[in-house]
Amino acid sequence: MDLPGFGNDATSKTVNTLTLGSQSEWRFEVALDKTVNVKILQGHAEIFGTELALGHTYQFTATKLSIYTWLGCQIEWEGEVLGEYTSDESAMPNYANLHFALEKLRAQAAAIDTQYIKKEIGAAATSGQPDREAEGPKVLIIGPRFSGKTSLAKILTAYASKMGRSPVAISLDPKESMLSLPGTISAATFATMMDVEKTETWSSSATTGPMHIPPKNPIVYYYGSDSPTDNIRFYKSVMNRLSLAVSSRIAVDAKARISGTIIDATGILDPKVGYDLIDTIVADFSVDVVVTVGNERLYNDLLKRYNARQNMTVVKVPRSGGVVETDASYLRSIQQRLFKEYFYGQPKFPLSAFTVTVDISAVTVYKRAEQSRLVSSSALPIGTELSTAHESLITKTAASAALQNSILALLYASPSDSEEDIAESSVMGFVHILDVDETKHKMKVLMPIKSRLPAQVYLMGSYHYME
Amino acid sequence: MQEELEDIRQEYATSLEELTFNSKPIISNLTIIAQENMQAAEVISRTIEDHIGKCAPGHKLPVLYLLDSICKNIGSPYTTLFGRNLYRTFTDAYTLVNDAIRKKMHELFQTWKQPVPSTGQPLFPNEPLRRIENYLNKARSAVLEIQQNYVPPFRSTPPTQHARPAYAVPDAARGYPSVTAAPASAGSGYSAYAQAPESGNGYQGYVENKPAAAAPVTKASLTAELSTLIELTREKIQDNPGDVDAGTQLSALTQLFQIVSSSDLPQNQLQTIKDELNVLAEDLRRNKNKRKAAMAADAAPPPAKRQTPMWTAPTPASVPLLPQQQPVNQLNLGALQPDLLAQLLASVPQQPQPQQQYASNANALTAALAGIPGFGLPIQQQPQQASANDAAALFASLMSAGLINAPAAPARQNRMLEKIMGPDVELSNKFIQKPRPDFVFLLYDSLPLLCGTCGRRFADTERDRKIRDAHLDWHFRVNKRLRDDSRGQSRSWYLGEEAWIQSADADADSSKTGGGAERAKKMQEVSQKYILTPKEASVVNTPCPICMEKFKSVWNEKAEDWVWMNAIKHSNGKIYHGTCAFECGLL
Repeated sequence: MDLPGFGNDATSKTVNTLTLGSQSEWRFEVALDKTVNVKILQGHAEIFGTELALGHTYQFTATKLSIYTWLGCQIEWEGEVLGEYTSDESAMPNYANLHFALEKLRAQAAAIDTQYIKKEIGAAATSGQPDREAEGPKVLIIGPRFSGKTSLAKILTAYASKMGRSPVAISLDPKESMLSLPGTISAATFATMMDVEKTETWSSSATTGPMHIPPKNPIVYYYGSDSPTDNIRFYKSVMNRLSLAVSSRIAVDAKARISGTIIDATGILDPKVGYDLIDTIVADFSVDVVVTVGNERLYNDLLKRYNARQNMTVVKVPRSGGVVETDASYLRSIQQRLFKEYFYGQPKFPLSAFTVTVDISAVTVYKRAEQSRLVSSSALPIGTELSTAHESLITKTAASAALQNSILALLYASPSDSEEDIAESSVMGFVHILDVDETKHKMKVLMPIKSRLPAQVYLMGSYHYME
Repeated sequence: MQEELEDIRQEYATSLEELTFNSKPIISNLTIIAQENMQAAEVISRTIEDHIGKCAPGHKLPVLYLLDSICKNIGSPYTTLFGRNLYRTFTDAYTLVNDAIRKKMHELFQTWKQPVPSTGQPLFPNEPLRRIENYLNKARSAVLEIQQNYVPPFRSTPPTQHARPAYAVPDAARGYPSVTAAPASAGSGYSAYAQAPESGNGYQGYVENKPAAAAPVTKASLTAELSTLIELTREKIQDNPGDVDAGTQLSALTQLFQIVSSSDLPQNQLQTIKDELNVLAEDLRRNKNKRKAAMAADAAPPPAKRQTPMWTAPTPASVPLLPQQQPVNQLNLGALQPDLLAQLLASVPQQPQPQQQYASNANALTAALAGIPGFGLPIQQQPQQASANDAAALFASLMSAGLINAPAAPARQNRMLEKIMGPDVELSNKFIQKPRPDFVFLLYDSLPLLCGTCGRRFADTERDRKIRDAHLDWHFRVNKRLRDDSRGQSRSWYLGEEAWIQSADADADSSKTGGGAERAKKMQEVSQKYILTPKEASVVNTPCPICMEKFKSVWNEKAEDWVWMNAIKHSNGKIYHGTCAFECGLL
């Protein structure tokens, strides 16, 4: 009997096996509503530097991935892919070399940082020596959109943690955030391995219970839209705040300090805004290694710009052949999925979210202030920058029907704090406004956790989510 | 169904490979898997029996403990299934292991005879228990007899029998070289080997002559093991003809074989070499598995065939025809594994070694020397080379500084570090552009222990093994909690700035983070915190800023005052519910 949905769906039932030779990779795409199960039968395989366990079934949805092998492996997979192919041309050997070059710098830092030595080897090893701190490489990865920057950042991070380091990974690209939601920039140390099934967000942030792969704890700031150019002043402000948090962390966390930072920048390379932004990132995060991905002109420009500086290295790596260009609608659907997963988890690991109904007046909502028409302060005549500097970055907005369906960032700030403080506050979490009833003055809010609606400040961005 | 069973069997067999020491987490994990796959009980029990049969003698005990754990925790049908072959499983293992393990097996067996509380019956059927009992009794009297008649060590019996009580004669045909039962007075039996031919083909001669050779066990087992390694290395080269390192390794092994078989080495050096070879053997075996995986293009061979037991001595049929004798002087000391071998060779004073190679490798030598306990001390004839002397001196000074007592594995770690610190590694386009897979191979080689659940890797050092155990424990707890706890989970709030900056230790070890048990415990702790009820009217009516609920004042006996329970005063001056603050990462 043929019942729809109960028949032998040939495409999803077929189990495929494929064998990869050494130093080759299998690239595959999974559609938004499809799932592909992948199992490594034999050999050695990794996804963006994170090794896969043998015989474990990994589940992938809505993703474009590649499984790389150094020594060869046998893969079994089932499900519907949009496309798949094997390639033995990979930039992986170059990326690995970059990792080892960085690792040398880490090892050098580890050898002289007394606090690190004390902690890892024992106090006796440093007795009699003066206290000394040393920092690992602070790497900035730059490249055009779709050059595989984020993949490279993941690979470098994964290899560093594989070798026992605890690097601080920093994502400055609001459109595809790390460990959080679109519109944010964030940082986290990766002392343990990444969760390859959650490729979009690198891993999962903490939940109220245990997880198979240790969750990562990010520090998150809310910018509120996809592109830094939407409001470059606000973007730089939150980025500066993030850099302060990272440098404070590095000051007390010796292991993260000698491991260094790995920064995944945005793909904006417009010489006017982009280069100014790169300068700011370099200054804020004390970058000492700039890696350009697959763009000769960019490499040469940055070489000219930075090579003269002391203790600054600019290198280039090729673009990975596996990078897939996506369009805006794909990005939207991925973002919608991330909102959903934040509240409800994935089918394999569901989470519960909770709805509360509150009085509209109980919620204090701010949004980004409109930015002055001039895009960049560097484009202003000298001296005029001061005129905008004291303008507030955020403005209060009335809770109204306009909030319906929007995603609000809940900040670590109370309504009584100054606007300045609020604008600099980090994110505690997100809520989703399900419904606003202006006549009854009530609002239905979806919360990730079961509690009262926190009476803190909410920051509104440009993101909406429809359940 | 059949496929499913085969999957389970393969997975279980792979997991069993991990069980090489008495590890509670691994055993618990494997027990749970056995429990969850009751439908495959027959397959699993057979896999375990097979594994006990073919794993290294030193690894048999933990697997027997696993069998014990499964039977005691799950019971039927496993008790019945294992009961069928229990006599063979137990006695076959017993014949191959050393006395210490036998003692443990005795103790284990004693517990099997105890009645199980739930049934009042012993764990296993009576018949196999009775037979094992008989066997053990005979074994004990045989041991006594042997001890009384023991004539060390130059009897003309095959050396393996020294390690074996008389009752084990049928098994002697397997020719398993005993590792542990080397007679202590093994010093003088070398003359037979001194005449062994110098060429690589001499190896075959050795095997043919083996029954007649009245050599100390250690030397024989060492040469036997060397030949196994040589064979494996040759396989490696066949699989990957371009592998230069393996080529170097092969020639080094070949030489080592000759040295061991043709020269008089003191007992402790033999033992040292043996220890090092064990490390190498593990490497090779791992490589072999990896290779097999890579090569299994057409059909995956069943693991039973794939896992040829490495630890039995080679039969003449499997003895490789060694390649043309390599001149000793062509040793490449700089290659991957071979520098370990170089150490071994260096410890043999009689062999002429080219001086410049030592000179250029003095540093590498020193580092690798760290892995060889006792090396450098018992050299009888001082080597002629000044540089070798230097190395020994360096070693001695390191040793006196207390820096060297680590086992062999750190040497591998050091090699990784050394390679990274090499002058060719630099942050430059030139270095990045030229593929250097040798680095990655070394990276994986330095992290040989793999967590079967998540793929995390660990070094084979004492410290990392502890971390690995904690990690497996953590998996076990997580799995148990996820299974037991039917309550759904929710996304937690992110940490605040202050909490994030201070969260270094929470991230450091997976065994500490995210663990629900720890979290619950902490929650409990903070919920018990209290502050004296504030006097100021403005504060009294201020709710917790997070949940907006007011605090309740209760009388506290201990404080003899009114207090707010589950309340903390944060450094920002505000008062929070302890649990709220903890949830939000303010603590």
